[in-house]
Amino acid sequence: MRISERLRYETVSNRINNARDQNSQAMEELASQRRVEKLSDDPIGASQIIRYRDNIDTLRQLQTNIEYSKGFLERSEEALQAINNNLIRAKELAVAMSNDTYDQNSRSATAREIREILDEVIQLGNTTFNGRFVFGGFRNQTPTLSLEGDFMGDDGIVHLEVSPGNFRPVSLNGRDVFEANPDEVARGHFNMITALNLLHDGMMNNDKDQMHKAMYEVEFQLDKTSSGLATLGAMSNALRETGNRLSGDEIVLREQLSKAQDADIYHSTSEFKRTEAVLQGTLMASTKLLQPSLLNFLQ
Amino acid sequence: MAGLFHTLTVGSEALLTTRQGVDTAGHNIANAQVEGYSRQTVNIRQNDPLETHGVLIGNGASIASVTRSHDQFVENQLNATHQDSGRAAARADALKTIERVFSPLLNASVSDEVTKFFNTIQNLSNFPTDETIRTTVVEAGRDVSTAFRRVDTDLRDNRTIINDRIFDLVTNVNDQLQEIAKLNVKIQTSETGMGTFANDLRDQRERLLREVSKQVEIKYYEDQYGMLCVRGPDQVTLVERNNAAKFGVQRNFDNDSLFDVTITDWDDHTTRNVTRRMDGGALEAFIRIRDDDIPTLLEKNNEMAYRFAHEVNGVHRSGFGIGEFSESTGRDFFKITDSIDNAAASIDIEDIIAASTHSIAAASTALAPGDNVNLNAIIKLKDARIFTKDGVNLVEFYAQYTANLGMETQRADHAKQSADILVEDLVKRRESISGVSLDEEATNMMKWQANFTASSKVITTIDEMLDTVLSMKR
Repeated sequence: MRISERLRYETVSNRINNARDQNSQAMEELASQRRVEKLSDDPIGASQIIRYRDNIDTLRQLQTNIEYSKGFLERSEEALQAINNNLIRAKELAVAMSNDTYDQNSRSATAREIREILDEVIQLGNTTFNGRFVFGGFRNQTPTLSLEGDFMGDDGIVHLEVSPGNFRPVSLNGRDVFEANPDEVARGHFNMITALNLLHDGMMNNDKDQMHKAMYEVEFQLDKTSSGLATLGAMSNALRETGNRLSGDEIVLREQLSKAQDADIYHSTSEFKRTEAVLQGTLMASTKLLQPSLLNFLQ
Repeated sequence: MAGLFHTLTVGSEALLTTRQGVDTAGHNIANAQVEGYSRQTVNIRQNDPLETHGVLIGNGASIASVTRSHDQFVENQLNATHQDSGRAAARADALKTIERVFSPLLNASVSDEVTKFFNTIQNLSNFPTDETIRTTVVEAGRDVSTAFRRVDTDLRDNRTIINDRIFDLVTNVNDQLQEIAKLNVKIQTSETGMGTFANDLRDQRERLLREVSKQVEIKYYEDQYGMLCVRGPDQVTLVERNNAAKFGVQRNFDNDSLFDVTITDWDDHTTRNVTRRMDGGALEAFIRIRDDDIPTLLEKNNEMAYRFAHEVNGVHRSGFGIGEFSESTGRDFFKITDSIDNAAASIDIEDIIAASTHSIAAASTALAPGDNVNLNAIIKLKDARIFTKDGVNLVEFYAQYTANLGMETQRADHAKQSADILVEDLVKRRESISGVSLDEEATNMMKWQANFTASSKVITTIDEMLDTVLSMKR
């Protein structure tokens, strides 16, 4: 094939351009440590990256949700436990006072302790965490129990997303704790505040019947608070488990994201060296190609 | 002395021809690096013999013609390939610019901002009354709106740039077509009657033709007078003899006032709209990108913004706020148009939300500050398959349509690379046929110079012989 002047120079120029292009691409990848810089580098990879990033951000947010709820649940548990303890003490006193060895004076004196227990329970009912009343349901900016112990919250149970697509309750139904539902009312129950009040009055009035009635009610309320504690315990455990699982999932996703998005440093370094060698070789060969023509040899 | 003078004539003609040989070699060398130049060769032929004294004697040599080395078939193939490569290159370059709008290196892409928005809502669902978090929700709402608007604006800007390039291209091609028409006349004038070839003019005309073939779809042939007749898109005649039609642009109000491409004939009698009737050249690529690819992307962005805003609004409307808004519902979160067109350009947060964070409707019941049920409902939208046609959620929708763009760009790039390889191959063939080789020309110069020296020796010999003859009579 005839080689014309233009062909020689064009070929040299094209080859050098190609070598430089490859070298600069390799350098880009090495410097940015990214495999996928534009969509066309790897379209499927790019869409995977979008999905992974979204999943990772979501998992982190869910873990944050779990963190936020932990404190709330802990405080709720503490408060309910303290109420439980108070009720146990009240029951002990009631059992003791129903013994006929004690007289009116002792009973009146004990009544005062019952009154203190009652005030304590009302205060515990108004426990707050980070400015929210833990037993108030959705009405958590105003006290849950009035001074007389009436329940002023609502039935709301706070739900949060704690794992993808999964919304779990993270609070207890306050009304359940401090009020009797229609079912319980039908069976003759009432709430713990009324029970304690009744106990107090029974002791003050030396009325054994009242005291007995109150005592049975307090026992029933003890059962309720125990099961409330169990529920809270179960919630905490479930959240902890979920939290652990989520952080495990996050690690796996981060690995996958890195595989899709980051350049393999060994590969990109060796590519860079290789293209550099190619460029050098091309440049050297080109100088040899460009120089001689017959005119150099004519005198 | 007819004989001696005859030889003198032969000698002097030889000087002429050899000097022409050197001339042509020099011309070739001067044009060695000129693109599109076809090397020229002097064709010297024997003169017809003369009859003298019953003998036919040779009559020397004269220049028959100067021809160029040129293969019309390779030329035609090259022009046909240029149609494809011009189109592929234009498409690949334009798409590469457009895909940057969706670059994976961005941290604030539409899908990132959508995720961030839902995350602020998650935070708020933990603390529905917290002022600071409410403010972050408003900010996130603003950011996601900005992201949608930015994509819309960037795409439209790209479209305007391509529109302007169409205008530039068309202006360029017009100039080139005019030149071709003028050259038609020059070539015909030079070649008629003399039977010679107007080599350099033809080279020029071919160069122009090559440029035009990269830009618009053309077919051409040479008529019996040596004039090139060029037809363009939709078989419209672009150049005929000394007449050139003109490409023009017209604003099309059905297409956002973008340009339609027209061809007007040289008498300004008829104008044909050829915008969608092209099949080759960079012009076709630009029009397709401007009228097909970009509008598709704009639609996808609009659809995503529209569905996102309307779904969030739908849930938000049924919720209650806090404080002075704790007993009222019916508020939208996002401001957006009722129809999908221009949804992305118009999306923003509602004024009432911007004015007071209390208006964010977190609760599902009135006067319930801890109620986050409505927020949870909004959160559920993120994974809901709100794009019923494809059955996908927000992030999936975005991932799919950007992946499509990536694949289109990749495909266009590959097409460009293959077309480039074809072109390179044909250019090599053309160069090997028509290109100048300095070695060859150097050899030629040596040859002609030697010949010139020899011919001059003939003349000096005749001169001496004449002297001898003249000195016979004193």
